[in-house]
Amino acid sequence: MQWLARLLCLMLSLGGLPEAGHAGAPSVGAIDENNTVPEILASSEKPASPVWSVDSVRLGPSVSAATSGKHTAIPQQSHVLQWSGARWPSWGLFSPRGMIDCAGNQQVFPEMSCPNGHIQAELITAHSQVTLDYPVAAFYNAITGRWRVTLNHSDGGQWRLEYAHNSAAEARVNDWPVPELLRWFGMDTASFVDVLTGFLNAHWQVMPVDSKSWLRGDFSLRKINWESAQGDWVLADVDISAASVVAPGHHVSGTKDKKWRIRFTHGQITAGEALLGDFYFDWQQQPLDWSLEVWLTATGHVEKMQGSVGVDGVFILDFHAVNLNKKGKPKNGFIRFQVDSLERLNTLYLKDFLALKGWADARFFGKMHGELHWRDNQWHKADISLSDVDMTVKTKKLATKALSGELHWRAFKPVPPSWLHWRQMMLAGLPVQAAGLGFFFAGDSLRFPDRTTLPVFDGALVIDHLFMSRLFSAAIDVDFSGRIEPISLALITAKMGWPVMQGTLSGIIPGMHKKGEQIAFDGTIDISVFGGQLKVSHLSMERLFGVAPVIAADIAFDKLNLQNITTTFDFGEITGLVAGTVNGLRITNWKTDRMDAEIHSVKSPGVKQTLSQKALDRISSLGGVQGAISRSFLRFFKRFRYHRLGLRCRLRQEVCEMGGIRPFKGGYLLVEGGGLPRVNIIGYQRFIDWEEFLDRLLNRDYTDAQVE
Amino acid sequence: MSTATQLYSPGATVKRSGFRWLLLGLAAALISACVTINVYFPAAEAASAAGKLVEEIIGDEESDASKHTPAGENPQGALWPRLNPLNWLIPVAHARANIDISSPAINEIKQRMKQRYEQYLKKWLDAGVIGFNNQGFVEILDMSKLGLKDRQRVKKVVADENRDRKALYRELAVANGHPEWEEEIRQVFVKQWIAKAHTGWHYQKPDGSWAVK
Repeated sequence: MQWLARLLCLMLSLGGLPEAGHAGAPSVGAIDENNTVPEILASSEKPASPVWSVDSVRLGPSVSAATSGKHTAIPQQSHVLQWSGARWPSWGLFSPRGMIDCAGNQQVFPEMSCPNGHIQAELITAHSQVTLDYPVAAFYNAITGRWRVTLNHSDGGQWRLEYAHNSAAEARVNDWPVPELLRWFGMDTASFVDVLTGFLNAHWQVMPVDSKSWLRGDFSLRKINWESAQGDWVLADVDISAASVVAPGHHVSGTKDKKWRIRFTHGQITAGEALLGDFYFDWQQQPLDWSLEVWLTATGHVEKMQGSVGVDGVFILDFHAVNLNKKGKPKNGFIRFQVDSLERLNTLYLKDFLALKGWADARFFGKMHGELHWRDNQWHKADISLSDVDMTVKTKKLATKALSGELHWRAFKPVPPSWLHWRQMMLAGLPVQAAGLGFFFAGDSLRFPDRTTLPVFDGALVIDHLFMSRLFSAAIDVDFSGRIEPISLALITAKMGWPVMQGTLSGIIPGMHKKGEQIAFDGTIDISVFGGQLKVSHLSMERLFGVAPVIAADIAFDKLNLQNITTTFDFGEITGLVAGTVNGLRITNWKTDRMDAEIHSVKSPGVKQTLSQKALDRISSLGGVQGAISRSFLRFFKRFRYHRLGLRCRLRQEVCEMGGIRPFKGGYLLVEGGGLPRVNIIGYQRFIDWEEFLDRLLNRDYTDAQVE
Repeated sequence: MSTATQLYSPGATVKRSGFRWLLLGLAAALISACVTINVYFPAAEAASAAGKLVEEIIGDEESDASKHTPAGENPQGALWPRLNPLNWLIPVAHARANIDISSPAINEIKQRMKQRYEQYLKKWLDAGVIGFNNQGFVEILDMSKLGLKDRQRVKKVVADENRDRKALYRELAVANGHPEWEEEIRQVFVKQWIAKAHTGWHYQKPDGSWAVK
């Protein structure tokens, strides 16, 4: 009955093949006439790292009654192998008791087979206590030394171990349920997994434990469905395959335990989908290559790991983690990545994540690579290089063309300088020409040491001073001062699709701060335009890159040259100066949403106040008169002098509540004439649709007002 | 065409010089008196306006809850103005409230929400995948019956919806000239979303537990 003892050896020492003379392989005593096996020598007699040991083994007959239909069959003798106290120190395995019942065993020598046996055993690992209970089929040839043992799962899965003398054992696994496998390793999946199904298929060669590689071969996991208890990590019908090598590592110092190294190479995920937090992966569309190397302690604790994932021609990401704690969090490690096609990476992996953040229409092109380092349980440094990155986010009016640079971040100073340069950029619709900027990025703060000039049209935005801190919190602190170097209004307005205006825009931005999604600029921006001054105060931006972006401001202007303005808008020439305010201006979604505007003429020595016929027509059209001048005798006059003019618009809900210089005869006075012919224009229409108002101001003529 | 009504701004001070000299004795006490009109949040009007807006988005299935929508309370109290002798002489300055629910931004957000509701949210609300939480937003409750692609879509659509809702509450406050009302408006919407929720939809109670309408 030695073969059954050998079989037991095999069951207990997968890999620790009990070769004759092999260190730690026990010898089995002779079986006496009663078919009892004397105690197997305990490992204590072989102090050099025993592969396995057992307290006692008993082989003997058992009597079982097979039943068939209504009749009870004749009792049949079968052999039962029982053991107690079987240990496998290298793997921290302990089987306090177990038995193999080999029903109907007929032949004993030289070939023995046990086609319909059954194994029942308790197995204790460092983390678990498992009961094995499977139908087993076994075969042993005492002369050739060949043996084969097959474990069958009730769901159809199978483990088949085979060994020919003087060669490696082979393990073939066919659709073995993964949860069952994890149960062997003592993982209580119920505590962290909601759903887990899938099957293991493998073909491994099992070498003696002290050989260079103990287990080697290909394996695949098929139809893996897994869902974390929180439901935020999910795998659906995933197929994973790899070549694997399990090699014994060095001895743990001070103990007899060995470490283990498991290496997976040529790994691929070829099918299925995954939802990992906010990231979604569809591997059906594009398989993912992977590799992994794990260093385990004797007790199964992962001590160190490194690996890679990648898609050929798209990206590769290597990771390395050491000093992992019990929860699997490393103390130190790094990630290194290279992206050869940002466009494809975005399509494959990033776009679904970005869509969650409201950047669904972001498109990327170009390359990047970098390294992120983790030291003493925190991010320590990051170095990222961008080369020729093109980005467009149409909804956010954001774009870059040929953006390149080096980003260096350090948790603590000192930090090397970072820089970016680009051929073209668009920020909230504002085109910035080729330029570059340098900065230092340490901890949660960003410092721009030098004056940075961002060329915009023929002028520039100059950042004199910029320091941002608490970047990773909701309330970012910004210390900023800058200015706008003169930009031709003609270029800005043409770009915006507005009537082309003459003049320049320049100003000083003394400071800004951020509150929630609102960025507010301190102080006043002075804009020189139309020969006068425009002061923008309380300028703020809200959700600039979010839903319904808002720009808000209060504007006051003084001594604007009407001649410049009216020429610009093809309004009909008006001479003179105007002043006024636009308070509570709120531009939402790039449209004027709300304002209280007022404009009035300002007398100035030496400046004539005249209106052309066309201008008079236009103003009267604001009040609702079509061709007021051109259809009357007044058409013989080309110019009219005015004493005062004024206009108010209180815009709410797309409706402008109109007003003029003052109430007049049930209406409001828009123009108070001067000289002869003296023309007053009175408006009567109180509410005008805003779009219509703009049309009237710029283009069309209407009826309904009175001219005196 | 109606105009947006001007509400008194917070802390606005209305001074009344009192009556003529005949009432000098009484007036003397009043001349120096400043009657502070605290602008109260017009909760009842806001509830009505919010209810209308919610109905525009998710329809107007009759529900008992909508009849019990609590009306706004005037912190000044109903009794106080009548008992205050000052009010016999000075008419109480009423802030006539008329909550605007339209502006270009609001209309655009509303339109987007309506379209999103019809395309996605309705079926997910009906199926109990998502519900209305007690913060005025949509929350994912159970995606277990959905495929992964659909789960990602639910997450994206819910994120979009909540971004729009946040902007909507803010824009409503701003459109009514009181950005500081954003929080109150959101609270009004919490009640309205739940009140107008259809039968079978999930919603979160104030104590954080979830219930089915």
